[in-house]
Amino acid sequence: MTKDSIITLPNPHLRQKSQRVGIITDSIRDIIKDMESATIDWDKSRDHEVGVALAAVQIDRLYRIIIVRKDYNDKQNHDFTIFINPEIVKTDGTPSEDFEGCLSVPNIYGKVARYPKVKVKARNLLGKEFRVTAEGFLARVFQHEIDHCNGVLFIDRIKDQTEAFFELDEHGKLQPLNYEKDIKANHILW
Amino acid sequence: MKKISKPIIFFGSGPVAAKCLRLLSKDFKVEAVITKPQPSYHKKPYPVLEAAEELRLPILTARTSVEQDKLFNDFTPKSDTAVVIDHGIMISKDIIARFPFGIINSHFSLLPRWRGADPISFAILSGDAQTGVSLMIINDKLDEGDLIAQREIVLSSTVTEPDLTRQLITLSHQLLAEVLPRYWEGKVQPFPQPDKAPTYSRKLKKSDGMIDWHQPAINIERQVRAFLGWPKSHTRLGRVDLILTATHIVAGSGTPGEIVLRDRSLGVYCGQDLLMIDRLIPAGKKEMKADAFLNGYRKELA
Repeated sequence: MTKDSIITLPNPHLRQKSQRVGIITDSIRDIIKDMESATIDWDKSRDHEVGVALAAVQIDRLYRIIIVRKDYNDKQNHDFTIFINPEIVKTDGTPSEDFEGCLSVPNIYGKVARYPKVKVKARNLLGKEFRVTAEGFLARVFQHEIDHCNGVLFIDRIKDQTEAFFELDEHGKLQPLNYEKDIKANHILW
Repeated sequence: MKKISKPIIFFGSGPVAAKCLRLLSKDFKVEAVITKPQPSYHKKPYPVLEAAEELRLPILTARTSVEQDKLFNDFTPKSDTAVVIDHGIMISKDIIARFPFGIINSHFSLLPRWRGADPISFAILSGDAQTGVSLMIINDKLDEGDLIAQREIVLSSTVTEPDLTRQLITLSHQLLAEVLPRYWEGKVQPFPQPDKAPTYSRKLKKSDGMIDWHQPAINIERQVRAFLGWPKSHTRLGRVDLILTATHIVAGSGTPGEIVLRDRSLGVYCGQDLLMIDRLIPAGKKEMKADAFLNGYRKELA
């Protein structure tokens, strides 16, 4: 599967809730393979960005499945960890802002407040339940992806914040966007 | 979710550069390595060339600053940031201008202290209590650019140059892995070097390695540690040429260069105090302790 199977705004499916996975069938395993290959293919087309994680809704399959890159500092590493029916069972600390970007929201980066530590419960490919505790950037990744399963995008979390929106310019630098013009009045986003 | 992850161009030629490149390639995509070519007289593979080949990174070579400029005539890097470590070729203004985020030099001292080559040896030689790594955005002057990070480590009074170099390579990599992404996201702003009087180091010469016994023992003891990698600390005692590898200082006074021979220990008077030799390498032999040396060479020293 290629990067073209990744849906982007204004596709309304991105604002829909995904359904829980029951039995892990071959078709579920195929969805996961497609998610992986779409992320890697997207990654190859980007010189200045890396695809860190993806939710199934982003390839237009509305199941509660997310995949997270095992080593997102190394673009050569194409391994993912799979989380089926992921849930945040505990959060810790005070939310803090940092940059976030999404494969389904072209060009925009936003400063989003997220908890610094979360505990996630999910099932693996064999259907076995497991839990992980994530901190820092990885905690942010889980909050972003589990939001996808609930039809929430990172821009929805900051939609009234006039100074939270940025874009990557042609020199690879993050530049603040004009909130009224580029964000509020942008019908692709809302 | 996606995140900013930029490729970099790496400029580096020496052995320290090779070690840094290996570490760096784990955390960053290296688009190309710019390094000196292998000279025909050099039999062993050049460390950076060897590392880049192993890591399967594209290699571009230049002997001189002029050749380096020419390289960039027909090469347009995708990277908007470069890192330079232990390179040995000045990088021109024109090349610097090609990188919107600049060329970051990981310099192994607390700038503005020890600008120039060999900052590590000079920090030990002058008995500095601390040293560290500075990440500097190079400009066309020698080590005068703004910094994006600086981190210090304590210099122990027994550390040798090879040990300190290893520590600084690790620190340098930690700093780059941590600070570069923050710099790309605009969370780290460049700042001028601290407003202190700069000091300058220089490239060491082979002749720096000859011990001058008129120096105070404290200087020679530091020299033995600072020059342990190269050019080492050479002297001739009696009829034996040797290299000192570990020494310590004892109070005392005598004619500089005069040997103090005891049962199991060996010392030499210096301009001030007495330098006791703990370990040494006699010409053509392996490193040994002073007492082992005395067993075989005592007569030669008289």
